[in-house]
Amino acid sequence: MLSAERLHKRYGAHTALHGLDLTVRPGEVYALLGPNGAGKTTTINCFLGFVRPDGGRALVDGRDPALDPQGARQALAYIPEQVNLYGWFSGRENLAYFAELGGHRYRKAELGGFLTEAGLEADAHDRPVSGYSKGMRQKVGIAIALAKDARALLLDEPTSGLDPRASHEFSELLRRLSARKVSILMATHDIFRALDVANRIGIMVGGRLIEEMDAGGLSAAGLEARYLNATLAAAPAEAAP
Amino acid sequence: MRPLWRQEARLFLRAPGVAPLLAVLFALSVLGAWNGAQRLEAERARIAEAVAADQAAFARKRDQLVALEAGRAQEGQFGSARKAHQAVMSAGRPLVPPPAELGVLSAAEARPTPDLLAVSLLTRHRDQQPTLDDPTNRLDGPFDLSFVATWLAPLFLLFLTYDVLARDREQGSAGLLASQGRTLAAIAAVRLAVRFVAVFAVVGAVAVAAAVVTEAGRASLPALLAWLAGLALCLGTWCALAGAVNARARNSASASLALLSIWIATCLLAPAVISAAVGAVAPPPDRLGGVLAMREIESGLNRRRAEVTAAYYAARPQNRPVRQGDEYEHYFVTEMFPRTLAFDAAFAPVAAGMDRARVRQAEALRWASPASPSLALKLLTEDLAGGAPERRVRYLADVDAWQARWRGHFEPKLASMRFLTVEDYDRMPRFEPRPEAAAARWGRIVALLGALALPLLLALAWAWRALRSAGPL
Repeated sequence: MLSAERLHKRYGAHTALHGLDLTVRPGEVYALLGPNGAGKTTTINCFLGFVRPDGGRALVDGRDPALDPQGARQALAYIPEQVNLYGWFSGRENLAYFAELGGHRYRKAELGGFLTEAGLEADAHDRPVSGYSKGMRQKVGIAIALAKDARALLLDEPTSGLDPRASHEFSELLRRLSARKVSILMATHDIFRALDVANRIGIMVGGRLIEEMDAGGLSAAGLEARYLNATLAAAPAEAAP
Repeated sequence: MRPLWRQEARLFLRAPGVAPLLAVLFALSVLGAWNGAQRLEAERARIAEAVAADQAAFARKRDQLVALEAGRAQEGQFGSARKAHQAVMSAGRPLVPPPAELGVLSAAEARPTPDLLAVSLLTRHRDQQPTLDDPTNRLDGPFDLSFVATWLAPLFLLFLTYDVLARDREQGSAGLLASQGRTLAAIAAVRLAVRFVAVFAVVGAVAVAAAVVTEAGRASLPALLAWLAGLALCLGTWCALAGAVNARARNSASASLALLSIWIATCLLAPAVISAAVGAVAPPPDRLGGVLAMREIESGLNRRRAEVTAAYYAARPQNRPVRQGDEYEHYFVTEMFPRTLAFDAAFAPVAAGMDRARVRQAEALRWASPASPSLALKLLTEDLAGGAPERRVRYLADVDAWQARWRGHFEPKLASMRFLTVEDYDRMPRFEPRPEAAAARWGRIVALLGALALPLLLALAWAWRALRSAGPL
């Protein structure tokens, strides 16, 4: 569903992606771990068509976002790290707006259903978003993704700043989406959340996918050790001229 | 994909500050229309009063003459109804040009076309012009709908459009927006269109209401449609510019600065430069030269007064006095009147030159106006409100023609000092101004609409090019 083939991206003298190969199959949750500047967000932006790769290609359901960005985005839902919404609209109105942008028009009850499924309390549905916490806005972002009914979901640091309960609810939601055969690519620093929800985990450093592993059977300590080894091993190479 | 009009309209109208801003624009538009309507009403009242007074005065004179001829009244030393030098020589008849279709749009006090001239056998109506400068050159002017549409509406549109995409980039919602499957160009286009409709509806609705209330019964619909088209082209240009700037702007502050710079350049700087250039290429009428020419002609005629009188009666022997009037009658009839005719004949080329200069100036302004949509809209508005120099020239030609007929009607009686008859009163020439030729008038309007369309097309091309590649980052 999502695949990157020898994806290469440079920003001036800095190479953000070095021939990245990656595949996320239907129903799979793929967690992309890596330090800041590893290329995780650039990878997601290539799938979204927000940046154009200098080499290789990203494919979303067989469509190249560099050539057909709107077609690729139709098949995608995206939740950024900060879900910034229109503060003078309520959660339900924001959802209706973004859903209509995605080509869907829902009735009020249906919109409420998406918000509830995303974990937003019913009494908050019609309150202005300017009074929402970050977690509540994140839930509206999830509801927007649910309403889009997309076959793939891209998440950029989705649990950053969420409290443990909200993070747990978020993991539950991802599992439900995975069961519906939605392909999920999640860029994150959160090793525990990656282990909790992902089927496969990739560790990126300096624009390269250093290690890729199945999440099954891994412990948090084991994953942390492999993450640290991978990032420390790559660090001298990064520092070299 | 469904169009986003409904959602974008809700998002826009409920955004903080939008409703108060539109309310302020509405209030300013109403105030501008009110000022225009007040001027129009005052002008119409002045005209009606002058016309009524004139008609009553001539009716009184006719009645007096009838009574005099019937022996029912005695003739006094002054105010005789049968002596032409007392009854009609200096009686200024109020002459009114065909009404402008949309006078309510402008409250300009120094419009080149006066709406009322008092013209007699003697009056040199050209002397009554308060100014020889073309007011369309003046960028300020009174607070009327012309001012609101020309200068304020673009500024309000700028307030409402500077952040259609830039704020989403600034706040980080552009990514979420762009990921939904519509291009940012499509989203920006709908947002700009919603804002365009809001500003156009507010100013346009007030203008339509003002025209309906003040111009009831007049054939002003084509003019009103032309003005609305001009307003739409001007506002459309600003929307396209906002789209082009928002395609690239990283944040709303830089977008607002860029748009404000363009506003200053096109609304303030460009008109000032154009005005200076037009002043050099097509200078305004030389007022001092006109005054000097007038004095020279007058002093020459004063020196040759006996010669002028002799020449007049030599050319018109049938007008020689049939009786000896008193010293006043003798002076006014045999000296002043021939001198006035001689002056008008000598000054006519100077006056025509001034009118030509004014028309050349207006033509040059129209040619240069594509550089400033606001200036082009100002010229269009003033034209539809009756302020075009061409209209003034046409009106003055009609006045001159009427004055020649008026003189022709009374001159034989005046110059020969024969008494007026009731028939002279009954067959007085009427002033019937010709409306301006449609081709000439609409040629100017279409040219100004073209001057407004050109910057719109350029701005649209820029916006299309910029928005096509606009991304959320």
